[in-house]
Amino acid sequence: MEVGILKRADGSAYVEIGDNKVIAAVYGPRELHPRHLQRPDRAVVNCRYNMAPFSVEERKRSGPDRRSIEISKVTRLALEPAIFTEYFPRTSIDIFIEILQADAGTRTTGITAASLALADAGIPMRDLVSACAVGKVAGRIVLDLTKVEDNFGEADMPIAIMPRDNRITLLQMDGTMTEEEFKEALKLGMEGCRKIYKEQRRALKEKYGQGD
Amino acid sequence: MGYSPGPGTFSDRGSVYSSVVGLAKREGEFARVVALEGKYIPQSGDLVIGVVKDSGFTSWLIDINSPYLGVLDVKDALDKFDPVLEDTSDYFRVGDTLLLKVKSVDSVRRVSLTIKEDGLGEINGGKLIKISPTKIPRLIGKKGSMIKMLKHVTGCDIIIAQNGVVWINGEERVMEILSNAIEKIEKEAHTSGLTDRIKEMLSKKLGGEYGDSRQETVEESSDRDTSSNK
Repeated sequence: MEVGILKRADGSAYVEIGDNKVIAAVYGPRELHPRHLQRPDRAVVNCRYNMAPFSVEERKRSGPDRRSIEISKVTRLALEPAIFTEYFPRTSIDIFIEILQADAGTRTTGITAASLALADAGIPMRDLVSACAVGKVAGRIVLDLTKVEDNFGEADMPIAIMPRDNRITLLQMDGTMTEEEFKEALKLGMEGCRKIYKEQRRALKEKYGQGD
Repeated sequence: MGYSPGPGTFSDRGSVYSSVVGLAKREGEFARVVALEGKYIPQSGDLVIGVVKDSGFTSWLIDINSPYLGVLDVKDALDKFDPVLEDTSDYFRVGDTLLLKVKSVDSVRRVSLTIKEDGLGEINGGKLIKISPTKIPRLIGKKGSMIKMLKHVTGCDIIIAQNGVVWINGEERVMEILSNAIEKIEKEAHTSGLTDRIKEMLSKKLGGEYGDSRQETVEESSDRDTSSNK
């Protein structure tokens, strides 16, 4: 994990988890145009998740598709609760997530990277947001599935939390699990998120030569 | 007992947490964090350097390097102005650089500027350098130690504004060296012993010459003590 990799952006981060390679960039808070979209009491948060055409084996056509639009929205909902948007009325905070290489778990890697980019930009937050995916493969609860595990497994559950007080900001599931399996998966997932949190903090400190 | 939340922090169920990446400081009962990055958020009384973006009927819109645009009304710039007979662009045009003060900021962060105080006005010549506003206090230094040293060693005129904009004026070659020094200060603002290191670097590069090419191409006094801000 590395922050400050894009000089033009206000904040940026590059994150590699497994074979996922993701870049996130943050611009803002900045003037929001057009005026009628401004909120007088807080900043508007915009988020764009996008997969580069070369990020997957079967070339992905350029541009937003339904999946990207959904992921953009849930990512925004995962990050917004952490941001002190009320400090910046009438502005926008724009978050861009580009998936350079995908191997399942891209949305959680994206959220992790975006969190770092927000912190890199100096945008005040209640906590970082740390995310990872957990799932069920061949009857077992596993952490951070790969593409193959995701495709052939029984369930995939991305999770994002604000680790300081374990508040969940993203929880989705694709597949089937029993109640016990879900509880086990949630516990494992949150542990995984806490590990990610440690790495995020280290990356931020490293920027100032104080990594760990 | 516990601490109270200062700038850069917030309190949650009795404890104070940092809201930004920065340096934690304890000041009496307050815990605060000096942010290492962040945009300039205008506050009343701040000295700012801005560029005219637009001229309206009785006001100008000024880019003050912030997510918030500043407004300079004619009543805060001129003693007499007749909007029927005159044009605001007769006084300040798009692209002009001005030294202003923030008069007030309202609840939705609309910024009113003024240019009517002593020392404020249009800036001509010299060079403008933009740095992160969070590094401005370091560029000024404790009790102005850094800026005093920079002025003394380079002989340049220097105006440091709160919004992350620095104006310098002097010999071309000296300005180049000073510009690099300011960049270095920005990068290493969080380290210690910086003032001495910069002084050494500058003395070496300037070969011990103390430039006396103080040009008075600006209306405001070059002895302006910006270190007294905040």
